[in-house]
Amino acid sequence: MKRKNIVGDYLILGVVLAIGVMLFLFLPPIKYKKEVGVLAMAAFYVFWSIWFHSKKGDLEIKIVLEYIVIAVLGVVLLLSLI
Amino acid sequence: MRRNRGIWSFFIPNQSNNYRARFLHLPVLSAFIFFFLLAQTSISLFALSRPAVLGYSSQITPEEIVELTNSEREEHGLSPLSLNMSLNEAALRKAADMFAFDYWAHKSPTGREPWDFFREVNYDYIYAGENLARDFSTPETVVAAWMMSPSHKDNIINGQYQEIGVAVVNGTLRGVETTLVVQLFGTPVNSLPKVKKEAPALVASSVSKGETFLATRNPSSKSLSPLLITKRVAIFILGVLLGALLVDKIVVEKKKVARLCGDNLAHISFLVAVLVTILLARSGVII
Repeated sequence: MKRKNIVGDYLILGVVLAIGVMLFLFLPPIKYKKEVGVLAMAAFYVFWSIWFHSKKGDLEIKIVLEYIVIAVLGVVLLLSLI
Repeated sequence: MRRNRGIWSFFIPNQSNNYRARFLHLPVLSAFIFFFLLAQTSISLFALSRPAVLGYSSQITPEEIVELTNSEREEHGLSPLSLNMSLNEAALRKAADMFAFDYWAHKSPTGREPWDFFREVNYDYIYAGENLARDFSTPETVVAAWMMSPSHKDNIINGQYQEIGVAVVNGTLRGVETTLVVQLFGTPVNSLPKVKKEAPALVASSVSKGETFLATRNPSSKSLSPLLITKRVAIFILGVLLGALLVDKIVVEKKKVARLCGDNLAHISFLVAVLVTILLARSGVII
């Protein structure tokens, strides 16, 4: 059961990220639309991490910071394309 | 016990790096962000100091834009637009204005509206519209981008328009060599049956706010595309991080080390999504 839950958690993450990628690639190349999409994807990633680790029982500020920095890196890289 | 030092500690978790690859430590991750921003700033400064060295290569002609536009109209059951030389001239003036005053917008910083360019060429219109695009490499991607945007699409498949003018102009915008595409739509006054003079002009309500630019006839062959440079730097960073995450995960699972840190699989998923987006992203912007 525990393994199934983890797989489900990753599945949610994967699906939302895939949707985020599709939206970025197929939204019309108008500024602000893509920027909002990128920020939303990064925000979702951080919230997902908080939810995932609180379920896992090892939620720590250091861990959340790690996800935030990775999310910021992703945002910076993607916004450079716009 | 041998302790891994040096470059390997950046990839392999061991006692010296607290069983977490150094590339995944917060200060090093932050350094990646700083490094990338530095690279971006350097590219921008280089573009400003050596204008026309960086640029986008395009193979767009006005004829292809008109042809593709009319194809879209035909698919929607509309009559094709006729090429109007006055609108062509107005589009060229608009593009020239954008380069001269270095702006990327509908309205010039000098206050000129898109419709001022219509009046300058003595094109009296009932309906008028403007589409703008830049940094595209092919006419197909330009028109496809416009069609993806509701307001731009409205211009292209607007049954009230009868004529079209297109300009494709290469120049330097904000320090970067680029290709502007200006597409103007219009319906001349004299195309309608005679109306009373007091009939209200329909321009304000009919004008689409969509903007797309058309590119010039002169294909540019700039070898240094800012987007390409940015992509390469980004891919390098992502490659290093993904490599570190994979090695870190494999070694930790093999050694069965318990530790408190972020989930590598989640990070890999996120960064792979970013990498895929970067690999598939194309240049081009419309307003």
